[in-house]
Amino acid sequence: MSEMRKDPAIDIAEREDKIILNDVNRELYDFIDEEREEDFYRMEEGLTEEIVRQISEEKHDPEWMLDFRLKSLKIYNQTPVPDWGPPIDGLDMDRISTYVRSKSDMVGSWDEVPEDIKNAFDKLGIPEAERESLAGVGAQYDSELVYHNVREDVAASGVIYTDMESALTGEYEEMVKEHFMKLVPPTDHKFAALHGAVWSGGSFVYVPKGVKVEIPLQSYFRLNAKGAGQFEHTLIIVDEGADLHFIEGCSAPKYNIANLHAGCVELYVRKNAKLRYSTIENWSKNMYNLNTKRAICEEGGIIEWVSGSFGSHESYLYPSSVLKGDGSHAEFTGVTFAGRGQNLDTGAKMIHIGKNTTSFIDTKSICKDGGISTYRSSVVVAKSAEGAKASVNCGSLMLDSISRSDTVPAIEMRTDKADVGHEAKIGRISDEAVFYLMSRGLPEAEARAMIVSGFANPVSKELPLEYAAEMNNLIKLEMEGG
Amino acid sequence: MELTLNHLPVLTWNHLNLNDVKAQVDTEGMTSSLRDGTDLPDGITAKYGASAEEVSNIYDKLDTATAQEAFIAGKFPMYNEQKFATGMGADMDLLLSKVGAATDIYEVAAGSKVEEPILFDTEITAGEKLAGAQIVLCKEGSESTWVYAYAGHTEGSGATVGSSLRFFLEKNAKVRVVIVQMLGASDTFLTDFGAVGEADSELTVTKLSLGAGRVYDGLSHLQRGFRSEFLVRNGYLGLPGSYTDINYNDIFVGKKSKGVMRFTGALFDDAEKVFRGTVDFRKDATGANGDEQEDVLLFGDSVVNKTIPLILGEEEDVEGRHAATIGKLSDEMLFYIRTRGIDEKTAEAMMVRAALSDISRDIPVEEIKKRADERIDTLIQRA
Repeated sequence: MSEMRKDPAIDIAEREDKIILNDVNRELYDFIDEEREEDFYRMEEGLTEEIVRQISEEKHDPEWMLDFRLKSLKIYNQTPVPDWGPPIDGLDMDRISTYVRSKSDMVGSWDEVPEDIKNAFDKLGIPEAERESLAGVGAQYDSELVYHNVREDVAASGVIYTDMESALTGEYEEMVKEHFMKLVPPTDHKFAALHGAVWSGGSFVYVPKGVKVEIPLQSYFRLNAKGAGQFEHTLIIVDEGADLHFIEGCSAPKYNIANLHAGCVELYVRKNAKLRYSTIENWSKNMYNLNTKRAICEEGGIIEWVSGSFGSHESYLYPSSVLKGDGSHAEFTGVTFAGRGQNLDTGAKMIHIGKNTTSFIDTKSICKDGGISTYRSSVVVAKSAEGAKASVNCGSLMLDSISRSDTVPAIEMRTDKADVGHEAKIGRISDEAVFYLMSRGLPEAEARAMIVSGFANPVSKELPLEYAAEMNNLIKLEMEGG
Repeated sequence: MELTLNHLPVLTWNHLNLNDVKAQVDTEGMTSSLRDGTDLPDGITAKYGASAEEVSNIYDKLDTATAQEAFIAGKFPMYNEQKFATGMGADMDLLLSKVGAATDIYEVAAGSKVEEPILFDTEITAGEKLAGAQIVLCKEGSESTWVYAYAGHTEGSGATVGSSLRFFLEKNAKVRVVIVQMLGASDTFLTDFGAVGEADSELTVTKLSLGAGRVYDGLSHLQRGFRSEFLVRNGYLGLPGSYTDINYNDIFVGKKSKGVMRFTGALFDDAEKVFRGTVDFRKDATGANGDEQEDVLLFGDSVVNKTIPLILGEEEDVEGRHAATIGKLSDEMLFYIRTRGIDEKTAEAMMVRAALSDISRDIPVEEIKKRADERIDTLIQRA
């Protein structure tokens, strides 16, 4: 049994010498900016009550937050590691620093961001994206936000987009207190408890009643420090009849020791409001991405998740939608690409409680070069959810025989007045399709990349143009190698 | 004794309670045979009451332990360790061993085409507890049909029947197995099945679950031979207060092997059902094709239906599909039937009867088929 618990992603890569394509060129994301000791504050490695108290002090938490952190730590220590999903034996909390921050303060102008950090975000194209297509940007470097800005006209409409710390210690404290980790309580699972104990950074968004934010807000998370964890908390409240598109991006340089990301996203979608939450996740391949995302929709509310998972060594990621209000609706559109050394366990959860609620899951998994992708989901229809309809579609594409693709979808129904449909398919790129494209003059690698891009099209077409282009580039990188 | 049965090959969230099922089985006074004076036709021989050691030696000789070598992406390989895997797993073997159930070993001679079905028609008496195991060795090129019927006037008597069947299909062997359960609402039925199919073998399993209040139904088929074929047709009626727990694993090892699993059922009132179905493509099973479909009709405010259909893929050159439809009859269908002057209740009964009768057509013994159809009618009326 102990042999079987070895990291399967590594195991596959090691036991096969049949590597078809080169490893991926990830220079765009994997660049390393050495952090100078004098510029950064770094908490010692490990997880103790003392460390949690220090983080709380660093962040000037109100008293209730310190209590919350300590309770969460207790829950973390009492909660076992999940017995399902990819093995996380390689993650040693004694070697993870849970808090690293630049000694400079968060600013509202890129010119004031320290040069080395600004360079990192420049390389990732964040300031450019802000100028061209965003209503507001938050940029987090390691544990804290270094930049936060929102367009004047958006702010004037009453939209609040700020960092969590400002929200927690300022005029929105009560609103934060009312919602913080109520949707994802620390008792949810071990890494939710960890998040509750050491969370830091992240964004707070409030969109007032009836306000429709026409262009997206974006938060970008960069974890640059070696052997560190990032535990940002994103709390979004979209009030009645309001509309928001929020984009989240993440990346990190690759180190030869484990990094950890255990963020938490809580989304409150009020009556007849709509929220689209898009993520392009491109963590480096030494990252354990144990992230929790959950939305709750009131009557007529709509949550749309668009998710691209490309990075990480191992991922546990299942955005959940609680359809509490009658007539609320959730959609999850996702693509996961698992390459060499990656074990990505992704999917979605839908919980129907209100009457006439509807949900739709459409996912695509691709694996290559010994990568493991697992699609995991649950659709639960409660007894109260009369008239609910749910549909699940998942497709898996395997690009070679040293990879692995599993589909683990669960459905639970507790009423006869609802309908659930489910379909899943697994297969390979058809030789006929490759032959057809090659007969039109495309080289084989390009033909295969084009087919994979087409397979992932349901996701990319849901993203704003520039993010769709980024996703297609990532697919191309993964397919063609460096 | 408490048994942990029907393990999901890959664990998932514990709060869903799908990873396995705990079953309480009262073994006191359990007797140990499923034989019922069957006369064996030419081409079939039997050795009754084989010891555990003899059985173990047979498994070693047949080298049936491939399933444990599964490389599973999750933390633990969950196929319970058995030399010859079944759907329910090792605890079912433990139950048989505890009650001292003997194993009967049948052999179908190479090349023999046994036309007449071998029938085990078991009448369960009130409160009876019965368990038994069979191994059927189907030699190269043989053809045979095996029918198991369990019935009894046991309403309220709390009978328990445990049946463990293992079929080994050599090259070109063709086997049909039909299992029809017509027990009472207070009865428990444990029906476990394991099979290994060599090249060009064909296995068809038809199962009808008609009445027992608690049903544990497991099947594992290791299709390790080139071009082996497998077809399952499983129908069940979940009556008020009943619990049905199903776990089927189709494991593809042989190239160009093909498997089709179809599950059709209806749940009434507060019936509860768990369905686990796995299509598992192992490395080098190139050209394999696995297809699984579950259709469940729900009739009742308090029904609980859980479904988890898995596809596990370790080989790129395969085609796998699973689909599920769960809910009520479509409004269009009901409207169509109503326009013919038929009320909703009658329409629902017609649809359930049609779905199950389509499966009962596979029963090759006319008398058993007739009883099954009558049983379907009776149960639908009662539900």
